[in-house]
Amino acid sequence: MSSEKVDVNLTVNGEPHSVSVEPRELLAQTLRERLDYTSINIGCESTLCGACTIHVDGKAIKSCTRLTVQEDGSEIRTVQTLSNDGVLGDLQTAFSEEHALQCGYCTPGILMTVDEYLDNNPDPSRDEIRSEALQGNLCRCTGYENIVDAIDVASDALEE
Amino acid sequence: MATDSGIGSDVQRREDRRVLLGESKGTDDINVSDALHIQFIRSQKAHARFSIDAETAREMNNVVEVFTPEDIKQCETSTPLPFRLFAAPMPGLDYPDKALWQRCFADKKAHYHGEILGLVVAETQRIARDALEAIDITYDVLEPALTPTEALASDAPAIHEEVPDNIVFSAGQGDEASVAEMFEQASYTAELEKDPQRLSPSPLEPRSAIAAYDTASGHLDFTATTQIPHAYRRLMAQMLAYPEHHIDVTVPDMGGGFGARQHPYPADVLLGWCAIELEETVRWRATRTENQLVENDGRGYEGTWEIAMADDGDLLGVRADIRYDLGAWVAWGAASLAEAGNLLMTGLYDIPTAYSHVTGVVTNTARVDAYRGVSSVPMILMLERLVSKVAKQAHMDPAMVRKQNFVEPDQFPYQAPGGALYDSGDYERNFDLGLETIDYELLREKQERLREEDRYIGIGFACATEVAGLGPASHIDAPSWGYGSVQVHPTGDVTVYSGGSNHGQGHETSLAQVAADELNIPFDDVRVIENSTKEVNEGVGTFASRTAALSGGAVTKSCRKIISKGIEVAADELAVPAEMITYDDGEFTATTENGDIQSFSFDEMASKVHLGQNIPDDMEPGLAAETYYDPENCTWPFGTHIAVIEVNPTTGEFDFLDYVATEDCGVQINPTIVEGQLIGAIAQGVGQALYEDVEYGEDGTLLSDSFRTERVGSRGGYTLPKAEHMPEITICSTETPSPHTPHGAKGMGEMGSIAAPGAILNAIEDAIEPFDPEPMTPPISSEKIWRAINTEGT
Repeated sequence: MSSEKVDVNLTVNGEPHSVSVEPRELLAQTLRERLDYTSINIGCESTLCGACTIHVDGKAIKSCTRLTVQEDGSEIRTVQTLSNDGVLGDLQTAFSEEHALQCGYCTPGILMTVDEYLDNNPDPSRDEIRSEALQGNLCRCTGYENIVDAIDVASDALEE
Repeated sequence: MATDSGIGSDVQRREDRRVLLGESKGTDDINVSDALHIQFIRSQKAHARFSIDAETAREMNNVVEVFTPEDIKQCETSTPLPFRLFAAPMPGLDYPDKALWQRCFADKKAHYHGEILGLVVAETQRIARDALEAIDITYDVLEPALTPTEALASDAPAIHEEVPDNIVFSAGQGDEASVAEMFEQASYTAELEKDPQRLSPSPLEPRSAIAAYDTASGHLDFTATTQIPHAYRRLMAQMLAYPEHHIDVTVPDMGGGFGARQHPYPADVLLGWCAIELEETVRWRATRTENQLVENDGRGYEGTWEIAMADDGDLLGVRADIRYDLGAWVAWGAASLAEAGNLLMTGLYDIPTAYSHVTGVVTNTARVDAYRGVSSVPMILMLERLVSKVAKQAHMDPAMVRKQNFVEPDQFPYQAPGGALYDSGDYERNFDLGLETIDYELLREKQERLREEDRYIGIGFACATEVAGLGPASHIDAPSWGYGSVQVHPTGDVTVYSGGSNHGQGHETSLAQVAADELNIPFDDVRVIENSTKEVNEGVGTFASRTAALSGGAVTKSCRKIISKGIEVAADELAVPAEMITYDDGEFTATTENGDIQSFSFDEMASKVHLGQNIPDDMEPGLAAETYYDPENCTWPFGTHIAVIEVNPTTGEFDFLDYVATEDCGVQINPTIVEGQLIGAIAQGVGQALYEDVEYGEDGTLLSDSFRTERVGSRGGYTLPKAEHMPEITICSTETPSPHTPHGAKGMGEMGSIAAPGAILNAIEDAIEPFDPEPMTPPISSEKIWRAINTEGT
């Protein structure tokens, strides 16, 4: 197994970082372990639960199965970019008001997934929220209903 | 003053903000720069003698140590003890042989896929994983027994030589003769088999822990994913033979528990042992696969359930013969779980007699223990299926049979034949609300009409109760009180220390509501602390729907002690007898005989008592109260769940059309949180009914060792329900306060997972009734429905 390190440049939430990683190191590991972006949660290591979802170059991706060396030069956004100086964004506010989280482990990933989804489909039906927006995310606590409500409310707020 | 945020208010949760901002911190998020990383050597075989060659791994760069069973046993300074947890001795059941209590590591023989055979300590997690791959294990494979039926077969292998028949306990509970008599008298009887479906609680955050040993102080500091920080400390002290006051446990934000983390695991003990042995900080994080392999499963019952009904629809008796899969070792709750199930054999009905025979069996599988709803789930599931089935046999409406048999409000406290003493209830009112909300009569008409158009909808009921707020101490052989202490600061601000363990339930909000309400002060003036043995003196943790009733009860009682002291101070200050003082809106008020009103605020009182000047002579300064609340009884919340499902008989495909749940958990502290807990638990019930199943291969290899997102009949992976699998749910509630908790709350965290599977199965069976289907066992798939209908040619 090659353990020769490779230099990788990443911009995370607007801040440039240079890291030197083994080729096998995963993006989620680099961001969590080296750069302390611990809002990225690793629930399954297999692209199934979506807790590690972040934006890479504007697209929502699951960072638990991306190799860091693939992402040299990437612009990365985490859930921290959805708020502004501690003021929650519309989607976050809706999640809080609708009680759309319990343990919160899946929440940052869901927020990043939905943030991208609403860009492409700003006024989804409840069925679309269930079967499209939340297709790739698991939540074990909420039963999803309040998450659907929150996305519904946030999409209404977007329209206004 | 507290009315807009006190008990009964839909206050937004305080814990949300840090999550939404991406600032919450779990155990694995904590950066410890000098920690060593542990990986466990785990058995790849379900039943095998083994030997380990770790020489190559030991010589690898940056590998600190490799411990095999031989090495662990040879360490003289600290040897992990057998897993010694308290199984409750119960009438009729022998205490499980200590030889069967879970060991921290296998010695010469592995008993299940994933059992710990040793551990690797390395500088980084990746190096520890590389070293694990370099370890050579030789197995001499033995035949495994994977289900109770297999383990009870005459030619079954003995999993432990101490119990050659694999039976750990076997006992009957209830009055067998009177039940038999009822079955003879009955006009109608129904019987159902249950497969040993096992569920994985599957919190989304995999387990992890950090154990830090401080050489200077001899202090052992754990950070861990557990639901029971204080009990974890006590058990670590016991298992590591280490002074309890030199151990601390902190639980950061945790990604779910659901019962799977209400007791420590061998991995936790070995981490502590390793930290002491190496005098270092060590950490471990489970992979998802490792988590699914060894985190305890739930359910695992198999057996036969029967019900007897009289000609007029009166239910006469229930009986069951249950084989309980314990896994390879006896986990702490094993025997008591079986007993708790018997408690609920008659559910919400006034059924005169019940009998169950329970056989606890070891198998070559991971341990089975608590999972949301525990053994209430199969009891209620089977009872509710039987009630619907026997009603159909008698051509009676299943709703009417239920209404006819409910325990009535004037029967409380009600002594159920299984041993439970239900505290309060109005089951029919709750059920009627459900019928009204779903529009039952119209639905039945619609069902008839649609059948003429070759469309099949079914209406399924499940009425349930759960054992919430477990107590009193005289009945439970483990600490079961609620702990709550309240510290009033000189400013009048308040810190509440609760012995619960928040991991998604919203205690930082709901317990603040309890204190604000009781003390009549603003919600924002109260802060709640849990999850740390450093900050909270004692606690039992959060499981079995206990915190609202027990920590909430303890906090309420502590607040009342504070108000009592405040009244004494106010009486002294205002120079009137204490009987003349009232406390309302944050003010102690005295109305003198001539009508003068004098008042003294909570904040002034707090400041005065803190200073300690001019307080009554026999009074100590300071304003704090601590309560260990031992309840008179458990609380018995209840509810009605109604599912409406359409089935396509040609393909077996099904869809939810509606789902109504009416909850009664007594006084609701925060109705939004109650609703959220209920819907979340229903989702786990949907998983049990339709998707989830722990699968072992024939050789005992766990197949469902990762998540998967679609259930297509193939093997491998564990299917958690997704958003698209869930119905839109309507929640409504009735309120029957608990007569014995100080604030009337009952607890409710498990009701959804207890009731939902029965409602869903009954709805599917109701839909396809015209086809006279074969019985089905969960998880129900389209294929199973199709096969149940199309019995010819399969």
